[in-house]
Parts: sequence; structure tokens; C-alpha cells
Amino acid sequence: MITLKNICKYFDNKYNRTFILKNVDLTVAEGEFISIMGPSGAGKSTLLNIIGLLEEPSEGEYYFLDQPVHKLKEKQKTDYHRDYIGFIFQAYHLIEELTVYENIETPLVYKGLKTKERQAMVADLLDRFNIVAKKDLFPQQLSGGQQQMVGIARAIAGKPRLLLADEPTGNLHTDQGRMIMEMLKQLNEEGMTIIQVTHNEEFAKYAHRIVRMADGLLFDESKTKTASAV
Amino acid sequence: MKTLVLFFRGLINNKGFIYVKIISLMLGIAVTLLIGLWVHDELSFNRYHTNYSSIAKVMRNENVNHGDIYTSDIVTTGMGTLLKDQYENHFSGIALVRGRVEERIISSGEKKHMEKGYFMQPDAPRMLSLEMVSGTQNGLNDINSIFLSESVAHKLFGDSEAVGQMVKMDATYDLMVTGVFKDLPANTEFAEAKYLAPLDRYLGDWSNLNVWNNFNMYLLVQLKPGASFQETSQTIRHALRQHDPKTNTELFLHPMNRWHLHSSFLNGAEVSNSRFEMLQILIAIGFLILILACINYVNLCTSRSDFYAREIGIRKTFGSTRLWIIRHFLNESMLTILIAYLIALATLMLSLGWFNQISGKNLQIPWNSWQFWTISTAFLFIVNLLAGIYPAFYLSKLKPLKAISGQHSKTRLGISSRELLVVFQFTISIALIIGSLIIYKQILHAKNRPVGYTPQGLLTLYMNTPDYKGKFLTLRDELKNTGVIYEITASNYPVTTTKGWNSDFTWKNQKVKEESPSFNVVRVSPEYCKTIGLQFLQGRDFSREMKSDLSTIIINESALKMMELPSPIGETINRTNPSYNDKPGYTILGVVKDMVKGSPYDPAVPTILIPSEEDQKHLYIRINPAVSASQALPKIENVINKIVPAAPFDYAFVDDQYNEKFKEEERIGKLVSLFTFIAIVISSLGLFGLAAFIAEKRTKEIGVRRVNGARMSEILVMLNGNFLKWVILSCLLACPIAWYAMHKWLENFAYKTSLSWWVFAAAGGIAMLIALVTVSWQSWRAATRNPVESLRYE
Repeated sequence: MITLKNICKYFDNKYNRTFILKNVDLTVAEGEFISIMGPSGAGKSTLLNIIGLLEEPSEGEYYFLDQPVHKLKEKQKTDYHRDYIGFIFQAYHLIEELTVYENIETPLVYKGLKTKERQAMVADLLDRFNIVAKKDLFPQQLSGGQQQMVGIARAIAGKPRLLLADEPTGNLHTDQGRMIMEMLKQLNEEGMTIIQVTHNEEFAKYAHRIVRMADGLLFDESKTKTASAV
Repeated sequence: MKTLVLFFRGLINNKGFIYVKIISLMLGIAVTLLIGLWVHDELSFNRYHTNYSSIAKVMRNENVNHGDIYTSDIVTTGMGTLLKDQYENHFSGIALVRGRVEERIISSGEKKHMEKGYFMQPDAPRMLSLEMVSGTQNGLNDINSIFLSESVAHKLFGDSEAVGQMVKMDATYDLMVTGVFKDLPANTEFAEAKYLAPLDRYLGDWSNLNVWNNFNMYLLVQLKPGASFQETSQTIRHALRQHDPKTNTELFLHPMNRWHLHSSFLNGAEVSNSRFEMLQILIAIGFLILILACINYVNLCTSRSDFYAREIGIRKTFGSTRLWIIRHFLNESMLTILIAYLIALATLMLSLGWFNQISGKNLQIPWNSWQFWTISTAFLFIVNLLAGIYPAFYLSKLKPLKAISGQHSKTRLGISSRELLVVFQFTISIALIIGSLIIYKQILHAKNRPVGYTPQGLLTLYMNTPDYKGKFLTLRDELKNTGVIYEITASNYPVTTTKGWNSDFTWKNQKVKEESPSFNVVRVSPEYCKTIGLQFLQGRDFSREMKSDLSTIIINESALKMMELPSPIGETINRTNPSYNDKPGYTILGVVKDMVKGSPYDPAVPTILIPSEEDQKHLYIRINPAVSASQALPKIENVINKIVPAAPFDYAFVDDQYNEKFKEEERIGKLVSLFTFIAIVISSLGLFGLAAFIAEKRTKEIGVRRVNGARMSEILVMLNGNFLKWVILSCLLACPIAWYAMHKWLENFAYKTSLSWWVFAAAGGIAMLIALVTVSWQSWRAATRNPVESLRYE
């Protein structure tokens, strides 16, 4: 599903070039669940952003569903965001002016679905995430775990094939974190490809594969028990 | 729909300074609407007349072949008769109208009123499409007929039918009311007309329709359908050669649609008049204020971009296109503008009466006009273009990742372009402050000008009735007997005007000039100088006891300067063309200080006072300073009613009349200061928003500084100093602009104030004070914040 070849990301200063990513090669198959780990500043988030088409690599090739997406224009990227990729953020990034219901609805509006269809789909998601009672509340009125649940609901509302999660449990208690990870695992089992960035060894192990990074380099890949169990 | 819901949530939470935006836009829109109404009022002037586009005045250009061309819309009856006889087939209507409003006493039985009106030939009411309440438009054919306006008819006859009734004019002529017309609306040329009478009645037995040396008429014509003003102007251009083959005077047509705003001529060419200039100034001010308001919207939106950025970033990550975001922001700005517009309409509705009072206008919101609503709608879209487009494009451009991670806020450029806009706002405001100050300084300057006589405590009455004839001395004696007056005099022209000019004077050693100098000549009773309060520089006053004084004159300083006589007293002034009651020569008896007779901004006019044996019509009564006016007035009224019963006691105080002269400039001053005030409010609101934004932005910096030992005062100075820098820059920019503009404005006046440096300094000071007060609240809040709190944000 995803093939990264020789991806580099760097900034040029007056005298030297600072690398954030250096010759990264990575292949992700459809249906995989991958964790990216590494110390702060290793380039994990940048890698995730490049995969999510939020940032462009300085060099290298990126194929998404066999399409050379490093050549895409802004407008086409928007189509990918709409149809293929969902995001979960560490800080949830819910829109404060919108209710829970409206937040989840957002991607569906951009997909151009009719009100009736949207209502049905949002109702399903509210059901599934057990937040029907909270649908008219605003994000500030929810706990962190609940907010992240809404974040996930929103991310998968558009039925993306790839779900990107940047430290989805970073702001949460361990219990709430586990709840989120269980949800991701469940989504993966239903067939969604997931890539997450995390600092937490325990949560990393929910994935099939852990990719470790340091100083912009990919240096280790390991299968987890989860993977062997599959 | 979604936008609407979001918008009202924003209203509740005061999202992004929404109220500041609304108030700014409301002020901008209200001012623009107001000025729009003004412009409409000016442009619709005279459109009341159905034949608006085919009526013209015949005007004359004198001296076309040599030197300066003098243009006037006043012609002689001879000219009118000539055109009527020789060119009638070119017009579908032609009528002479007395070229000035005439005040007459109109009475019926016991009721008598001084009313203004026009004398005109019978065709004029039809040409002017007079709306008749009763009677017909062609009712002025008989010399003893008269039209009354609805209001006057009501005053005289109440609810009973006026047509067919008799009224008396000036207690002399019995006229039959042959028509009652609807009072003309205020924005028409002849709006003052409360009666219309036949021109023949005006000419009476002292003049006729073939006079060529008395310029006293308008000549109105109505073109035939399809004819053009230009071609017809060409046709009549040399018409006067039929009367005098050597004449240098040419005729042309001045269309009705140019009377109001284009009635000034310089060397034969049409130039904009003061009304048109005022209109231009107002349009410019209105446009600037609208821009100021839009700048606030733009500035507040873009300065709050961090606030929007996260939301935009999230939306973009979830597949929103740029277009969608642009549309969202444009919808939001449109809603803001719409609400601002509704509040502006309401505000206008409430304040229009007050505004009409200070502006002397009669503006109304045309609720029932579909054009008004169409133009308003178009206008709102234009405002949205001005205010909404830039933020929409600017904000929608934000890259989603940068927006989410907050990197966006680090751009220095964003701040400096906002600073620039604030500098622009303050430049405009300061320039307007300077403008208002100079206007008031000019008015004060003229008000403090020595008047040359004493207008206070001076009463004036116009005796336009035949039974006054020969009664001046009786009146004087009776009034003096009451003890409430100090002195009374009479003159043929009012002291507050410069009417009456003659140029046929010669004197010893007169320098030969191409044109003989003109003097303002006033015929007065011997008590004139004493009553008015003129101050003698040389010589002495007239005396009623000395009959020889009847062949003397008193001149003023300006006249003396013109005559260049080293010792004027006793010098002889001769007249080359004395009229029936003039003497061929006069001796100078005294010289008085200059008096302000015409505009207080014009130089004093050279004046000659001639003692008159006749009873002149303009009475001036100096009330005894020991008696209050309220005590004196009834006694004066008693005497006048006894001696001249036909005269209404329509008195006026000369100081009121004198103050009238300042009305136009005071009106401009009030308008400009009103708009200046609004401009300042808008600019301050913008600054307030920006100060909040900057204080917020520097929260962390302030925290760090305070942890490192900065005192609160130092932080206040740091934050406020920044703003003061901008205001000072604005001052530097505003001063030359304002200097130039006001220099131009002052060129309209001969007696003018100086552009003192302190005015500019004061304007800068005012702006700085306002700016300081505006930003200090925010700065103080930022500076007093607990540093621990502000640093925790990271």
C-alpha cells in the first residue's frame, strides 16, 4: 500500500544542511498495523506527516496505492485526505466551536454526502463509540479519553483505508490509553491499515511491527508478538 | 445554515473580537449610508419638476472678446422679451422670473404675514409642473391674480377654499387667489416660494418688459422634445446683436440639472461650486471611514489567525478544499456585515433627525424605495469584497501542518503589514483632527474679527408697507418717548449685507484706472452712525439739525484707502451720473472704522454713507442698555402698531443675523468633527484589537522578562512604546497631507487664520493620548499577569 524510497527531509542553513530524515525506505502492506518509536527529534512525526501528505519530502519517492504521490498537487492531496487517509492527533485537535456530532460529521461534509446519509453514518459511529449521550456537548466538556474517542470517530468517519495516529495516547492516563489502543486494534482487525507514532513500549506492542528511528534514520524493525499471533 | 449556527455561537463566545468587528463595520456602514443619502439628496435636487431635463436658464457671458468674462444668470426684461419675440418657436415654454425671492406682506382681513415668493410670467407654473391643490396652472394671466402655497392658504383661510378669495399685498394691491399649490419640497430651486404672483405686478408702474439696463430677472426656457441644450445655446448665442450689433455679451443655456452643483463660472467656463466641493469632501471622508472600518475587520481576522489556524488545519487534514474555507470565511464576513448593516440602519433611523439639524438637510431613509434596497445589497457585497476577501484568502492559504503545530505565528511579516494598516488608520484620523481644528480655528478667527459696529442690542425691522411713508420722524419721537430705546435709524440696505454698489465717484488727484472703483453706497438717516455704533477715526457724525450735512458723506477706512486722500475731511467727491435724488457733489464729513458687512471672511468693502431725506425701509433700533429686551419689545411693538398698523412686527436681532454668516462654516465644522470622531473611534477599536493580540503574543516573553527581574513599569513602557512609535509615524505622515488640504481650504477665504504649528502638535497629542488609553489596558493586563501562569503555556 505504501512504498517509501530514499526519503530525505532536510533544511538548508547558511553553512550546513540539517537532516530530519535520511534515506528512509519503508513498505507498508494493506491491513498492517505499525508503530514508529524513537527518541524526541528522531523524525517520527515528520515521517508520519510525509506519509499523511501533510509535508513534502525534500528527496525521494513515495508511492501510495501505487501512485507516485510525491508529485501530487495541493488539490489532489485534498482528495487523498478526503478519501483515503484519516488522522488522530496527540492533542485531539477537535474543533472547539463544533459539537461532538458536528466534529464527527466534518469529513463527511467534505465528501459531499447528503444530510440523511451523514446522519445515519454519524449515528452509527456515536453508537459504536458509546458517546450517543454526548453528541451535543462541546469538546471542552469532555475528558481527554472521551475527546480522543471523538477524534478517532472523526478520523474513521470517512472510511479511510489508512489511519495515521501521532502519539494518540500521549496526553492520556494509562487506562484511557489502553482503551484507545483496543479501539485501534479492533479497527485494524476490521481491515484498516494503521500507522502510529508512540513513546510507549506497551502500546507499541499492539502493532504487528515496530519501526525504530533515531536521528532521522530507520535502524531497526521488529515483529511483535501480536504479529506472530496473526 | 451551518455558518449561521457557527456565527451565533461566535457571537455568544465573543469569538475573535466579533463585537469590535461589528461595531467598526456598523460605524463605517452608517457613515457611508448617511453620505449616500446626502449624495442622493443633492443629485435629486430639482428632479421634483417633471420637465427637469428640458428646462434651462438663459445665462449671459459678458465681455467675451476682451479680457475677463463675467457670467451671470441675471438678465434684463428686454433680453427676455427679445428671446420671446424672436426665438419662441425654438422653445415649448419661455418665462421671465424675478431673479430673487421677494418678501411681501400678504394679508387677509386681520391676518397678515410676511411671506417669501416669486414673481413670474404666466407660463412658468406650467413649465415647473407646479402641483395644484386647486385652481389651474395658467391662473397667473391677470395682473391682479396670485397663487398661494398650501401652507399659506391654510394660515390665511383655514380649511375653507382659498381660490376666489381676495388677499392684499403690502397693504396696497388687492389680488385674487387663482390657485393653491403644494409647497415645493426642500430640495428644489424655488423651495422658498410661499406665493407666486404675476411678473407684471412686480414691474407695476415703475418698469416694463423692455428695459435693457436693469438686471433683475431669471429667464427660464423649456426645450422642445428632442432639442439639445447645446444646439439651442448656439442658436441664441448672438441673439443680443439684434438689439445692439456691437455687443460683447453672448447668451447660453444652463440646464436645470446643472443648477445645483455646477452654478459657478470662471471666465465663462463652468467650475464646481461650493456645494459640489462639499459633496466631494464628504464622499472622500465617507470612503475613507469605510476603508478604516474594513481595515479593522481585516486586521482583527488576520491577527487572530492563530486562533483560526488550528481549525483551518484540522479541516484541511480532513479533506476540506481551500475553496470551501474561503467560502466559509466569506459567508462569515457577509453575516457580520449584514448584522452591522441592520444596526447601522437602526442607528441612522434614530439619529437622522439630529443629523438633519446640524447639517441643515432634510434626509430620510427611503424605506419604500426598491432602488435603495438594491443599492444597499450591492453595497454590502462591495464591503464584503473590501473586508472579507483578504482574510479569506490569507487564512485559507495556511498550510495545514503549520497551522496545527502553531508554527505559523512566527512570521514577522504578518505583524508589520498590520502595523502598516494601523499607521494608515491613524494617519487618516490625525489628518481629520487637524482638519477639524483648523476649521474651528478659522471660524473663531472670523468671529473675533472686529465687527466695526455693535450688533448686540440692535433690533432691525423691514418696513415694506406704503403707510410707513413719511412717518419715520413720528415713529422716532414716539419710540424715544417710551424710554426703552437709545436711538433709531433707517437705511435703504441692511447693515449685514453688501447690497448697493455705485462706481460713478470722482475725487481730487484720482489715479486713472481702467475701471472706475466701486463703492458700497448706503442711504441712511442722520442717526445711523450713532445707532449702529460706528467708530469715528476722523471728522464728525451727521447732525439732523444742520441742513448742510445733507450734502456731506461719511466714508470708511477701506474707502479712504481707495481714494488715497491725505487729509480727507472737507474734500469734495463728485458724481458723474447722479440719480434723481443724488447731489452732484459731496463733502467728506467723517471717516469711520471698517465694518464687516458681507462675509466675515472677505475683506471689508469700501463704503460710503449718504444722508437721506427720504424714509428708508430698513429700521435699526438700539435698545436702551439699561432696559432688557423683553421689557423693550412690547413697548416698541405698541408704538409700531399704533403708527404703522399695516406692518407686521417681524423684528430680528442684528447679532443673530450676524451670526448667520458663520452658519455654513460651522456646519462644515460640525460635520467634519462628527466624522473625525467616528474615524477616531474606529481606529481606536482597531488598535485595541491589535494591542490585545500583541499582548497575547508576547505573553511568554513578558513572563521571561519578569522572571528575570523586569519591573512592571518597564514592561508597560516597552509595550506602549511600540504603539507610540506608530502614532508618531502617523503624525509625520498626516501633517503634510493635512497641511496641504487645509491650505487649499483656507484659500477660499481672504480673512484667514494661520496654520499654526500648535494645531498639528495638538492633533498629534490627542491621537497619542487616545492611543495610550486604548492600549494601556491590554498592556497593563499583560504586565501584571503572574509569570508562572504565562510560562506554563508552553
